[in-house]
Amino acid sequence: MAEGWKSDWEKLFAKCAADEDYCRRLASALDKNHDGEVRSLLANIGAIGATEAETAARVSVLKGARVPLTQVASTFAGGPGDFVAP
Amino acid sequence: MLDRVLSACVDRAIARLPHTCRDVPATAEALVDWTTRLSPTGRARDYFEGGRAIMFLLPWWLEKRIRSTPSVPFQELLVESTVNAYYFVRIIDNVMDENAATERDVLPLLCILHANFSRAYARLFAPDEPFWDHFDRHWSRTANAAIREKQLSEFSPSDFVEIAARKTSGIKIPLAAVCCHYGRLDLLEPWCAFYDRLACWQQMLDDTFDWMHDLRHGNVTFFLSEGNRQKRRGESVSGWVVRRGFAWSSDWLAAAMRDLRRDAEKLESPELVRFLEYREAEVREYVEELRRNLKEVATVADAFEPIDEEPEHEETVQQ
Repeated sequence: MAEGWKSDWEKLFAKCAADEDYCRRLASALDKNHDGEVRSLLANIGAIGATEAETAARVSVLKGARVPLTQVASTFAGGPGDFVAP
Repeated sequence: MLDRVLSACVDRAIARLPHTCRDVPATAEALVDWTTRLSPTGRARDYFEGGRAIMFLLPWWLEKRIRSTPSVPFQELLVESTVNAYYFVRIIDNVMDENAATERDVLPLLCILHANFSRAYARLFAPDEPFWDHFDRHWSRTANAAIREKQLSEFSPSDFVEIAARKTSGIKIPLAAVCCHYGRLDLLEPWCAFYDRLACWQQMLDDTFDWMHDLRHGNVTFFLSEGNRQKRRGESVSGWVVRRGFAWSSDWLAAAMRDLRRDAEKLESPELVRFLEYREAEVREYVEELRRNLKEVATVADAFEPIDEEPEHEETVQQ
């Protein structure tokens, strides 16, 4: 990886874009309110919060944006190529 | 997107691709295999749909601007040349962008593609005709843009216009062929100038949708350069894209398209104007939905990557 993902956001977004299985498991865990699984998935990529409160806030925000996050990540995962609207 | 007659020309050009290697079936097979793999659908012809169709459409519409019914045998030669030229550039670009193993393995095919590319024009123009000055100029500029692009560590707005968007200047060669063939060199400069602006729009669209791929491979683009200039303290380029970058780029695209449509009116090609209207609507609809999603995704970015409101760099370039 040329840049190397540094922030937790970069790690999460890059993982969701590059790994469909991870993205699907994260979406499923969020959908079913399996917070423990969500935390585990975040920990796997080094994107767990520094404190319990921070982690809880991250899980909560993710629940609210599960669908757009997966859609946006898959949109930008496609390149390179000519843009063709779906 | 292509007229039926023009589409048939593209079909035939692709079918004829292996013809020059007919005495060496393994080479022909390597060429066909590569073109097939390049297309996401596994059908080489599909690769030339969407935005790439413009490389055939512009010379077609330019000829229609000169005479109501284009000459099919003439267009057939242009299309055959353009298909080969496109593949020629694609192989080089993929090697330069990604050091792609697949393309490195087929590099010797470049000589066949280049021969096919120039042969079509050799049939149309004698060696001493002025067309070849245009050919040399536009082909040299294409090469120059590709070389200079790789030497830059970031793109300014002028680098974008003068270098990144000039990589496809080769499309001006069939435009020059049309103008030289019909003795209408008065049309060449305005059509080439229009293409330069369209190429900027097309390049920005590619930069915007391919940014993750470019970032991962260390490709320098104007969009990513702008991200590095505009991002705040503690903000990653990925964070900039979802918070403000995509919106910045889509506003840039919308403004550029308004200018393009205004310029296209002056070229007196109704088909070109309709094409831009179609392309604008297609992109706008998609972009609007994505922007709505990005607003929510930005809240995730904020939770995972707190940032300062201060710009990371003192001087940011805005457009």
